[in-house]
Amino acid sequence: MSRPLYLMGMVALAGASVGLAGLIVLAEWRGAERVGIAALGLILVCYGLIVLLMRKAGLIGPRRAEGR
Amino acid sequence: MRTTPYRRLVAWLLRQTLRLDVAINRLYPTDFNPLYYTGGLANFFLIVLVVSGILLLFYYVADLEGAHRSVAFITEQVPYGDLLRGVHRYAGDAFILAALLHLLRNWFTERYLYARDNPWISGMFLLLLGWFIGVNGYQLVWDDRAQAVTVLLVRMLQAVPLVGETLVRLLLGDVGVTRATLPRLLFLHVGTASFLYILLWWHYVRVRHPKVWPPATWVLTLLGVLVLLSALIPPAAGQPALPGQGTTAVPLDLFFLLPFWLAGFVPPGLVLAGLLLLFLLGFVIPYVGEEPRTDPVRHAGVAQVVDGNCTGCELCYYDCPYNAIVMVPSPYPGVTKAAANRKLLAVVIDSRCVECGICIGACPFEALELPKFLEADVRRRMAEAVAVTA
Repeated sequence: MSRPLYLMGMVALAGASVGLAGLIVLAEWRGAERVGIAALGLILVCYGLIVLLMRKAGLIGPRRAEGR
Repeated sequence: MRTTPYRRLVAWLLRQTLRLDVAINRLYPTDFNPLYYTGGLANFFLIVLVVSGILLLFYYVADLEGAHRSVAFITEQVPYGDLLRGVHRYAGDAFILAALLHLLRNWFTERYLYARDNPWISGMFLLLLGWFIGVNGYQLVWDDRAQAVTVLLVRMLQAVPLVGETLVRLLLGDVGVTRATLPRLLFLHVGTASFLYILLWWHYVRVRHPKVWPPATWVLTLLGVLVLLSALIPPAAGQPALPGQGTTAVPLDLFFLLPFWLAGFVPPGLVLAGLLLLFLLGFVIPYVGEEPRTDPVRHAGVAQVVDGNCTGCELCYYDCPYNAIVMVPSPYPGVTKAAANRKLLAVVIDSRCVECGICIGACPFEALELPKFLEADVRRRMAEAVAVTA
């Protein structure tokens, strides 16, 4: 996969994380604690995938030049 | 090399492990391959267990009447209490899974032979105690399952010759469940968990560069999965335990309660004996797998310092993965120009050297050698290999 695709993936996951953060607020407001917990778990998974995509795109990690 | 069935099995398992590595390296960058961090993953889950366990301790009441009630209070009343319980529960399962993967990987790649038996033996103790702490955790909920586990555990201990009754008294505070039982179980759970860190020190002491922490992507993803599991499948608590009544049937649980489930079909004493035998087999694995030291590539002799060439640069000291090289004040100058003004001298600790040759590669001054596998031998073998493939 190419670097622009990784970057698009990162943006999509970041957008999804913002949506999930909104879901946590909504779940708290509605008293649906379990939905909030699930959203928190999904945010962490999204963050993990963002870090993976950053590494694959060569933005972090020991061999940054690979991504260039 | 001998080709016993055991050696052929391990060689086959090694090939499959390497194939799996290659497959995962196609998906992830090599420094993110989770199979290279199975020990670090177990360590990560242990930290999650400790942190969530400390938070649970604030609310847990260790007595016969209050234990089950306090667990229900944590689940239903404490804000995000069910999340805390779920994360603690699933991190326990994940710890055992990661530790087992770590064990299997090191077994298949034979990283337990000779001087490397130290992490293997300490690892067996870590696994045994980790499993015991998990079983103990199930007991602390003090529901019908906890009661069944306690009854079966007592039956197992009673089957131990001579000291069986004493062990039961140590566990429960008396021959049966008393007011002293739950404080003892809690002490065993927390105290043994603290002891794990002493064992971890033993586990790491001979390894210079242990991978104690997985990459951030796995920390975040797996923490997310633990949280998600807690939301989707919250850990259940059964009916409060009623000593003297109830069943001894334990539902199947692959990670901790498998022996107790088995005890429903075979005598508990036999299950305990099987469990002990399994661990004893684990302890002897490093010694049954040893080969005679005849192959010069695998057994090149303990590394030796070429005294006159050593400059005291410490490169070999930092690169040796097994802490087998120490630097001592040099009693006299070296022979070569580079070594003439050295302050330190490398010394190899024979009992820790695994004859891997890493120090030879680390040293730019030709100050180390493997006595049965000299650089000239390496060059000759490389030339032969090139000639065959050309």
